[in-house]
Formats: sequence, structure tokens, C-alpha cells
Amino acid sequence: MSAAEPDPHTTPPSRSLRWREPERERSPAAADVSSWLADAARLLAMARRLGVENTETRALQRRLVADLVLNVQRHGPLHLDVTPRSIVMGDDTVFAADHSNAPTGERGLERELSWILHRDGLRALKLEKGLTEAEAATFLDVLLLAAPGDATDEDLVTMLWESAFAHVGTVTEEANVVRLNPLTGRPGSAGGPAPVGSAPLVDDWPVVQAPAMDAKRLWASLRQNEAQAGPAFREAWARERSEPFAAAAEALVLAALRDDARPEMLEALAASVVTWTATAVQRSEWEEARGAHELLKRLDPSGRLSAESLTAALGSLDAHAITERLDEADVREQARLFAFVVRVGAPALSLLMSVLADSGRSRVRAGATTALTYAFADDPSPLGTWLTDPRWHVVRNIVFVLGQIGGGEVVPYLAVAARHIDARVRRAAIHALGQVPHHLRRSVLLTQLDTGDGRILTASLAMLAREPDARVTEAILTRVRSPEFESRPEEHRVALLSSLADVASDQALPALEELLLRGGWFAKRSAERTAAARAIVRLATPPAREVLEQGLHHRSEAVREACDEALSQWGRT
Amino acid sequence: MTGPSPILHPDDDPRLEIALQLASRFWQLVKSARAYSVGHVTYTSQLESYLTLLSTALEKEGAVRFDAPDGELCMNGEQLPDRANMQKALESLAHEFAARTLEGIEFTRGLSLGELETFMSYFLPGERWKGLELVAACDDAGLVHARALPLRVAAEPLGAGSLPESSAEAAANLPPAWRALLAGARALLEGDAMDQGIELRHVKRMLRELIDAVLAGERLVPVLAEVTPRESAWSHAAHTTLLSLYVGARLGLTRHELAHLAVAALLHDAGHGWGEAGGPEMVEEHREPAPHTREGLRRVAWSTTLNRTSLGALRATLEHHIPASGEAEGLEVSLQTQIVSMCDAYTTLLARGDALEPKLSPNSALVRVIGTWQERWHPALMVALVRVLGVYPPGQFVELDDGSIARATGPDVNDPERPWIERVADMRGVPILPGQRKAEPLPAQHFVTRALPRSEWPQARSRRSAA
Repeated sequence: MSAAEPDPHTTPPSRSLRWREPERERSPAAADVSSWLADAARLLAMARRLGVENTETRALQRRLVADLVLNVQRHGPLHLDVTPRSIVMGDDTVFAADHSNAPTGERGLERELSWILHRDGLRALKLEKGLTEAEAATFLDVLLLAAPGDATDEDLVTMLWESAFAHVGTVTEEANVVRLNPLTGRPGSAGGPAPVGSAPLVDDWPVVQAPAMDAKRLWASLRQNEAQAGPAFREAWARERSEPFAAAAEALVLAALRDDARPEMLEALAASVVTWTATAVQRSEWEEARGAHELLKRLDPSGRLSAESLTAALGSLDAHAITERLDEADVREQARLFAFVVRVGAPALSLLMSVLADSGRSRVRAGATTALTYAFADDPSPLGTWLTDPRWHVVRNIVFVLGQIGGGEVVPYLAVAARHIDARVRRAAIHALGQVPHHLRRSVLLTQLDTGDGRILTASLAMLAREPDARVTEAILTRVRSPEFESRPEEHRVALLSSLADVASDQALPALEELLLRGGWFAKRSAERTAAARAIVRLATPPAREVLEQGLHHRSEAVREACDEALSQWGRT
Repeated sequence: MTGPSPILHPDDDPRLEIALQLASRFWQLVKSARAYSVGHVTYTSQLESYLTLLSTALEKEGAVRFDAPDGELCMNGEQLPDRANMQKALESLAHEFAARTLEGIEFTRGLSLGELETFMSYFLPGERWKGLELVAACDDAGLVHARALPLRVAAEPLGAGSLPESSAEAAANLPPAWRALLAGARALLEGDAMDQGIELRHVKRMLRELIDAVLAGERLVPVLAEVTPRESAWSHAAHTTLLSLYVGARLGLTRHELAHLAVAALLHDAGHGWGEAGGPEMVEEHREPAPHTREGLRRVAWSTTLNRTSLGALRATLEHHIPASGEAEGLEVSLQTQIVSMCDAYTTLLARGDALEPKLSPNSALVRVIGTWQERWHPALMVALVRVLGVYPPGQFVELDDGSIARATGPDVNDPERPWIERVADMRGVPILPGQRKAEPLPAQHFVTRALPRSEWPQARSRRSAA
């Protein structure tokens, strides 16, 4: 090889360039690890959808445990560098996130294996030879537990540390224990209250006026019982640790309030229970969420203290993950969510809307709309805010719910929906207006008479025709008489004329007569003329008959035919 | 006073003029001591005159504290304004604090001439006592109303960053795990940082190093000998956490359980001064402040999310003064709380100054915890406490069978009655210089004959003989 020729085996200047070398073959270790990581990512997705306890999830986990042990045995020690979007082993990228080009903040990226590992501060993972099955199983357990990011007291790094692995090492990056003020770069608020923690310790233990005792003697007496005290403590400790969290939380809240029902105490406890409710929802633990919410209701029956924070907390959840899980859940599980949402009411709206928007199962969406109907039957106004959602199907579903609720309260929202840019939403709005008293919906329906959508026009006219009214007649006649009438599609013109007969009396006759006779000598047969004749028939009044009979003598054959045909229908309609 | 002081700028607070006078005249006292020894009639007269001026401020403020956190001299937290004629004195005093590795000095109401004189006798010979040694010497001398303030260990971001240069020396001797805890405790508990919301998983991360050190058997217990009267709230929290962890480890708790316990210990006193100092709802004037246990519960509830760890911390804040046998709050005191409570009691008693009762020796503090208050805790906890601290806890002076005096630094792992010791005086009573002292296990042929009451501690004895 000449000196000028580049050595094909040298390391490229940038590892990223090397990633893009499709022809370069991976080492067997990299190939095996890459395959294992891909499966681990699949395990995370499966656990997210089906739950950790699901049989399929468990089966895959068991296989991955065995594979991990084998891989480490075969290729160990393995050193994996973790970045948010990839995992690198030596010079090989052994895992690249599906959403590796997604912008930060994109939720899809947050569910990727590399992100989950990196999120809590893990920067490198070392798997040493000798890794046992128990260690591998614990590692995967920890990974599954940490993945949803819904634990507020545990994270991946802490759980790995707690597991005290002998053959798994980590390199981590630590964050500040408190939040730094973005303005000052220091902990605490910029103009907050005076420091309280830097105050001297307050001596809060009582003064003891007792004769001095001897430490040695006391120790001797303690030591006598040491053999019994240890086991007794461990037993009591285990009992205490096994107490269900919900029961312990409730006991604490009630104890705190027993002699201290100050509003500020109530407020603090309510804020705390809100966080519990939200984390339980994020974990899809619906029974626990229900229990937490019941406790919250006891603290704050009116919702005055907690409604706002609960709305914010439930609104900030990863609803996509909840929906994914819900789509795979059985009916009972789904029913629990809907029951919870109905109980919570307005604060859970955004959560339920996200479920409605993201769910791929019609059964879930149907359940969500029913739940929304129940939850907002008394006050549908919170639903109104969702009419501005950019997703047409979300707005349509809201309109559907508004229709299910019915009554006068929903009219303003349906009026807004009836002007939506998407015809599917407008159609749903007109359909929903069927559940609204006529006198309240009339004005909304009349605005639809100029629509370019035939289905909306027909539906509106049909609904208007149910309770004829002079204003309706006038509105239709105005359209019929207007110069633009001619330029409207034929089916629109026919629909308007037909409906005119349903809603009008002889006052519409001149307009209908004019349309019937329009064209003079040169009048031709048209659907519009036929419709006008038929409308006149449906008026079924002597003046109407007179118009048709006169039409039989018209100079134009088309007019005569229309009148003849109409008269033949006289008395049948 | 009928009108504004002529030497003040119209916008200046009149209190600042007093502060300037107090600071510059204290510097004059330091300079004067180069010419007159403490006890000289001229110097005593200068001290007397200074005390008169100081008493006026103490009556109003309760305490006068000079420090220079950023190199600028402050009195009671307020930076002193520039005065051409005093500038040099103020700067010199600030430099003096830095040179002595002190945060500053503090005088409190009740200061007597004798006490001021004693304080100056320790403060002036800067070549002899500096930093923590000076603080300890003042404490040992029984000074309550005049004291040197130890340099605080700066809170540093976890995993990175370094201490400011001024505090680097003080922090250099601290074990890394303990230093990390101090920094974390301060970041968490000083000011209102906690009230901006904390995530307990981050607190647990901060505690990992210490837990590992405790489980690895690292001897950190001797730091309990450095508990000083009126230590800061965050320092007390750190000491309580350290002791709780040792007790927990002794009881066989897992890493997971120790992390829970440590969080509870760290936050147990979070309610002290919170409502009064400006929590979300400041206590109204007409109302009695709520007990710190309830305020602590409220503060932790506000700043954390409710989960198993925070529940433990909430219980610790609420229950840590309730006797275990009682259910005063309708809740049986949890074992975790009992551990925190017991360790809190011990470290509080260690920090007890003369305000409530005479300062206690570590041995007396232990006796109260495992004797007087024994009904409060599960028996196994007290056994564990003694095994952690020993019968002669760290900092306790003891007399050995050969008549020598030693300072206990922690127990032998297998025998709480045999402490590790640091001899301070030989069998003839001749003091051993600090540089020649070393911690060692109590030699097998020797035993402790008795724990010395505080009045017989070497510094106290030397003071009496000097008098």
C-alpha cells in the first residue's frame, strides 16, 4: 500500500460517520448485544401495553434473562455507553432509538430504551462476567419498574444501587438535590422569605430533672434483652412495612387532621393526596386512584382546594401510555377507568380526552364518550374548551357527547361546532342539535341554509321542518328569492323548495309559482320546476290548486307537464 | 432622639450607624490587644466601654452577628455601608474572620464582661486557635453569649463542583460521604429551596454515598463529637441522619430501607420556624404558632409527592416527639420514626447549650436517651444505639485505669464498653499536644474507669486552674 492511500482499517474521525457505514460488519458481541437490546426495547413496549404481570411479558422477560447471562458469559465484560438516542459498545452503535431524530420533548422518544436508561442519570453500564440469572432477572425487573417514569420516589439508578449487584456496574451523573432558580442559578426563590434552615437548631426536647444514671448499668440491662429485642424488632418492622400504602396514607391524613383542622393543613394534605392520585392514574392502578380520590373528597368535598391542582396533575400525565395500556385491557379494567373519571369529573377531562383521541379501539372510545356524557351532564361547559382542538375527530367526539347530553346548555357549543372548518364536525353538530329543544336550535340551523354541504342542508331543513315557523319560512323564501339561488347546486335548490312546502302556507305560493313558470316560452323541464310544482301540491290549498290548473294552459310544454304531473298527485300527498 | 444623626445619609437606616460603630470598635479592640494583654486594666476598661455600646444593640436585636459571607462585612445579615473613615477597619475585620477560618462571631443578649473577656482571650491568639478548634474551645469554656461561628461547608451540586476556596480548608478534613451529606442537607434545608418542591428520588441519590459508607463500616461516628451548641438546623439534620443510618444498619435494614430512613431523618425537623418564617401561609399574629411537628408535616406535604418515602418522612415529622407507647395523634408511632426520634433526641441533647440546662456530655446525653426516655423507643433501637455509639460516645472524655485521660472517638465493633480513644493527658496529667494525639483502640490491658462529667473535662480544668 502506498503512503498516499488511506488505510481502510483506521478508525474514522467521527464515530457517527462510522455508524453510516452499511457495509461494515459488526463484531459477534455487538451483534448479540444489539439483538438483545432490541428485544429489551420490545419488552418495554410489551410491558407498557400489557402490564408487567402479563404472561407474554413474563415469557419474553424470562428469555431475555437467559440471553443476557449467555451474552455476558460469551462476550463479557460488556461496557455500554448510554446516550438519550443510542447505546454504544466500543465503536458499535448497538441500539438506536426508533425516534432517534425526534425533537427533545417528543413523547415517543421518552419511551425508548436508551432514553429510559439515560433519563435518570445512567451514563454507562458495565456487565461483568459471572453475571447470575438472579442478577439479570433483577436488572430487568428494575428496568421494567423504572420505565414508566411514574415513580416519584424511586429511579432507575437508585433501584440498581439498591439491588447491590456484584456484576453490574454503573456510571452515573448526579443532579442537584433541589431545583435551581433559573433566574439566579441558585436554590430557592429570588425574593423568597428569609432563610429558615440556616437558623440555629431549636432545642425541642424537654429538660430532664432526673438523677443521673450509669450508662454501663443501663447497657448491661439492655444487653440482657438483646437476644429477644432483635427478632421482635424485625418482626414488627416487617409487619409495618407490609401495611398497604393506601391504609397508611389514610391513617396519617386522619391523624394529622384530628387536632388540627386548620385550612392550611387541609390544603397541604389535599395537595399531597392529589399527587398520589395522579401517580396512581399514571400507573393505571385504578383501584388505588379511586381510593386516593375518595380520600381527597373527604378532605375537600367541594373541590375548592384541590380542583385546580388535580386538573393540572391529571393534565400533565403521559396519557398516551395510559391509553396504550387501556387498549389492551379487559372490559373490567376499562370500566374502572371510566368509573374513576366520572367520579373525578372536570379535572379528569384532559385525561379522558386524550384517551378518546389516542385510543385505537372503538370500544374504548365508546366508553370514553359515555363516561364524558355522565361526567359532564350537569355542566357541559368544560367540554366547550375542547372544540378548538386541532384534531377534527376529537372535536367531532366532543360534539357527539354534547348531543348525548342535550338540553339548552349545549347549544352555544354546538353553534360553535356548526361553524367548524371540517364538514364532518359540522354534520355531527347538526345531528347533535336533534337533542336540543327546537326553539333553541332554530337559529343555529338557519345559519346552515347557506351551506355548500348538501347533507348538512338536508339535515338542517329536515330538522327545521319538524316544527314549522314563520321565521323558518321567511328564511327559506329569502334563499329561494335571492339571486344566488340560481347558482346553487340543483339538489340544494330542490331541497329548499321541497322543505318550503313543509314549513310554509300560501305565503310561499308566489315564490313557488314564479319558479314554476320561470322561462316563459322557453321554459324547459327541470328538477327545480318539478320540485316547485310538487311543493305547490303539498300546500294543498285552493289557491295552490288554482295555480297548477292555470299552469295547465301555459305556453310552455314543460310547465304544463309539471303542473299535470303535480295535479295527478293532488290529494295523495 | 429628636432628629436624624448628622453623620448619616438621609436615606441610611440609623441602625447601620450603630452597626458601623460596633464593627469598627471591635476591630479597635483586636488592635488594642497588641499593646495590652487581656486582663490588663486598660483593656478591661475598653471592653467595658464596648459592652455598653453592644448592650444597646443586644437589647433591641437580641443578637449581634458579624460575618463576611462574600468578603463584605455584615451585621445580622445586612451588609454594612461604605464609610471612608471606617472602610479599613471593616475590611480588616472581614480578613480576620477569613484568616481564622471562621464564618464570623456572634454576641447574644445576656453577655457579661467576664464572658466577653474570656471570649477575647480565645479569639485574639489567632495563631493558637482557628476555625473549629476555636469554636470548640469557646464551647468548652462554657461561653454561651459570645461565640465564634464555624465556617459553613458550602452546599455544592452533587457529583460536581467544588467548595469555595475559603471553606476548602475546613472541608478538606471531612470524609467525602459526610461532606456530601452536609452539602446536600444545607442545599435542601437552608432558605426556601425545599419549598420550590423536591423529588425524594433525588434526595435518595444524594444519600447513596453515605449509606454505602455506613454499610461498608466506615468510621464516621466520630463526627458526632463535633456537634456544637446552636449548630444550624441543616447540620443537626445531617447529624441525625448519620446516626439514624448507623442505627438502621445495625438493625439489619437493607439499602432500600436505609434510604427511606435517611430521608425521614433529614426532613424530621423541617417544620421549625417554617410557618413563622413565611411558609405558604404565614402564621397570623393573633394565633399561636402550630407545633413544628405539624408545620413539618405541612411543609413536607407541600414540597413532595405522596409516596412511600414521603409518607415515612411525613410520619417522622409528625410523630417524632410522641412517646412510642402513646397514640397522642391517633397514630401508633412507626419504628422508622422511633429511630429518627431517638437519634434526634441524642443529637439535640449533644447540642444543648446552657440556655435550658448545663451543657451535657455525650455520656449524659446517652443516659437520658436509653435511661430516662427508654419507654419512648423499641428496646432493640437502644441496643443498636449503644452498639453504634458505645457506652462512651464519641467526644466523651474518660479516665483510664492508669489515670490517663482520653477522648472517646467511637466504640469497638464488638464491645461497646471499650471505645477507640485519643489520649489527651498522660497518667501524670500532662497534656498531650493535639498534633501528637491519635485515635486507637483501647489497649487490651487497659479499661475505662469512669466517664468524666463535663466539669472535669481537660479544657474546663485548665480554665479553672488559670483562674
